[in-house]
Amino acid sequence: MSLETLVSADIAKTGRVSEAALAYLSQRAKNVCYDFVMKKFLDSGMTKAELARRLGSRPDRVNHILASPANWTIRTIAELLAAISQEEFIPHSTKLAGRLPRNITQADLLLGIKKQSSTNAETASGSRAHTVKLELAA
Amino acid sequence: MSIHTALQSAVAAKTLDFLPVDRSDPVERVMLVGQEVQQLWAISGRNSVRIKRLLADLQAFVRGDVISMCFTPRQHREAYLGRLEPTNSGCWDIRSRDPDPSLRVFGFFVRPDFFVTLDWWPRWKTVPWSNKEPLLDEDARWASAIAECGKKFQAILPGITPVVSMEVAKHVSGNVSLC
Repeated sequence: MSLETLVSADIAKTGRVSEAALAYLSQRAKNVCYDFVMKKFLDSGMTKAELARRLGSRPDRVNHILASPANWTIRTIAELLAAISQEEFIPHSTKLAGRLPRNITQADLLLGIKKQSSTNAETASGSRAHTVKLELAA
Repeated sequence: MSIHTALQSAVAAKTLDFLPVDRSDPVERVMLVGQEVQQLWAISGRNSVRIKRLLADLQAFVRGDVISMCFTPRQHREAYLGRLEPTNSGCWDIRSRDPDPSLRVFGFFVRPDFFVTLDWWPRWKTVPWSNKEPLLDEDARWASAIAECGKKFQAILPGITPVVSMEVAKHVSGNVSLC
């Protein structure tokens, strides 16, 4: 079931979004925020020790924060972005309805193993190498 | 039998299925799910709240989100993925810690970015939708759960060896933070 269907079906049926749908969407939001901030951190090349210095925090505390979004709040996100990339956290959201499906599925990636195997064989014989992900994206 | 053929056969036989994701989600990694974990998706009512959060946590892997990994057993703390003992089993757990009750999903990497999950356990407390005993800090329970998961792996993917390595690149191709 798509996210859109999940939420709209709840509202149509009971007039409210179910607790399960709310839990699902809030956990996804938390994970997306974690991914967003962690990509900034990894791209920055900054060490955890340097981040701890910028936050005026202990390194073990920063290790704890960066390992999981479990205890993250909006304040955590804002502070991390300020220290990592000198950015302000400005929320952005998109409608659940009308989202386009992605071109690549997990089944495609599984199929890609097979392609990759045959490509590796070609590479060994001197043919041009391609990566599976490039093939699938093309 | 190649990894591709073994995985395809298991999907065709419905002993493994792809983790459900939203059709608009990017797909950068693959998570194949055994029946023990698949059964969780059928849980409805009040208990489905915790399951939906678990599903969201597992989807982070498939979307290619940054994940934290710990290669040192018993030092996982808040890591998303922790390598379990005995390390030569290749068994890992995905740790869904929020909210209570904390859950552990056991599985194996079969190649970079491909994870096969075959079992799950409550970490500290019993859960209302299952009679599984929590693992607690009981070494014997952990050892039994890991061994059982290994047996399931061999039954579903005979002849395939899980990744056993200290190299990050043998597990995931990117977007990882080591703990």
